[in-house]
Amino acid sequence: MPNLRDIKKRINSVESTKQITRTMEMVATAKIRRATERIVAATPYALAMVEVLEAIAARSAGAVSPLLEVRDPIKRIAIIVITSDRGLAGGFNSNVLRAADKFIAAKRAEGIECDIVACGKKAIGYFKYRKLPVELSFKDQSADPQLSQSREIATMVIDSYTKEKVDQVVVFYNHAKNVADQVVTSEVILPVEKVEYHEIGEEEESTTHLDESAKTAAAASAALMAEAKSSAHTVSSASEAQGDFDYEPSVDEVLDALLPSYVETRIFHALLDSAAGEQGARRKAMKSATDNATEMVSTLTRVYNRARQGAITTEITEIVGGAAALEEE
Amino acid sequence: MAQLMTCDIVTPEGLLFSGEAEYISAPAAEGGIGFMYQCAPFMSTLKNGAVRVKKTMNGDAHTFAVGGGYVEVDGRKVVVLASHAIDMEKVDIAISQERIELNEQRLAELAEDDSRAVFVRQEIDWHRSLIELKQDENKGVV
Repeated sequence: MPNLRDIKKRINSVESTKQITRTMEMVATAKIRRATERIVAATPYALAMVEVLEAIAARSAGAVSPLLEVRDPIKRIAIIVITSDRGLAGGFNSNVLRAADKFIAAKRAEGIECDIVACGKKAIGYFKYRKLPVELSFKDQSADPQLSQSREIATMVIDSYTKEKVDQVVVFYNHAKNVADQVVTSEVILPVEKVEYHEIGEEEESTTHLDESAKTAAAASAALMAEAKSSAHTVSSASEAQGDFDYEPSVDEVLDALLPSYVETRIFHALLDSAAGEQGARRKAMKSATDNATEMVSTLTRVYNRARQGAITTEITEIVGGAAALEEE
Repeated sequence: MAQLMTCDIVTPEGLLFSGEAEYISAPAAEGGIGFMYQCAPFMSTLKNGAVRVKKTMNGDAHTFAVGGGYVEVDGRKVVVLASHAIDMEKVDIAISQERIELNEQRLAELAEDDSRAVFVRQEIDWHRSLIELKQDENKGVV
């Protein structure tokens, strides 16, 4: 029979683990909101940028920016891998890393080399362990991506691209499809093939399968996104009045000057998206950890009670047996 | 009183300023340019410099240091979409100086043709322009 004290110890330890995971869950839920707010703040810029680029691209006769030039054959690819700095987020990091690794292996088989830009400690550690050379790395910023980080990545890949050191730039990250789900996404950011706005943090699926706290978080982020769209609309309205704009220095030069900013925005958005996804993944992972702990505590409590009942029964039997023995005398 | 234009200054991180003004000036690609209500539609890339927003023509200007991106005007509305932008009041010469030194150190460590050097040089330029603008403002050149 299991020792009562041992069971009690187990229960206490599971209880304290549960407290930790529950706290982490709540912290992540709060951080989802902050991450969503940052995405929302970044939306007007991205929308306005895309609209203006579309307008200019339509006017520009033969766009000749090197960033638009598609190269064939591709000899070298720069890949940007975005992960988190901390673990305890379920399959968040391993999914991206696996996808990136597969991509690298496939390209290697075709004789294409890959330069790696690693964002987040998990990516750095992974590639270091695999002994894959990392061109540029960032850490301690995954939860709170800085603009300077995306700018540094962007200027670096743009420079490599224009100097023909690399022929394509691909980014791998977790897209926060909604508060609960992340999808590993890979996007070609150079050459710029099509200017488009990537909606992030948008509710795409029904939220019926989500639990209560996720629903609140989802509702909050949906409201924020709607708000962002309406404010973004006002910001970009200048370009809607398609009068005859005077371009300075010239249409083509404006386009050339804005394309790097566009690339930078794409990378910045991927970082923000990944940051939101990280919190979502952690919330989900911690939620199931908390649920498991609750279940384990109830199982252990049952075992504990059964053992205690067993001990009491044994004692009573002993007492009754002892009393009967005394009466017989 | 002249009519007001709306003005938005947007950075990748968010909306920095939004409001109405009578006169707005910006550092366009071919030199500083000012906008008032009903001006011709115009669009230009931005150089590092100051965007000045004046609520009234003779009043004080609210100044922002900007760099990169573009400015767009359609006669009623001015949109400044800047890669860098900061409220002039928040510019600190000491901090910028520190950044320049830090980046110069980094630059010294990098090879001449290293792709990372481009970014470092941009950062140095940006902070130099911040210091210059701040010093001009302190001297009252504006």
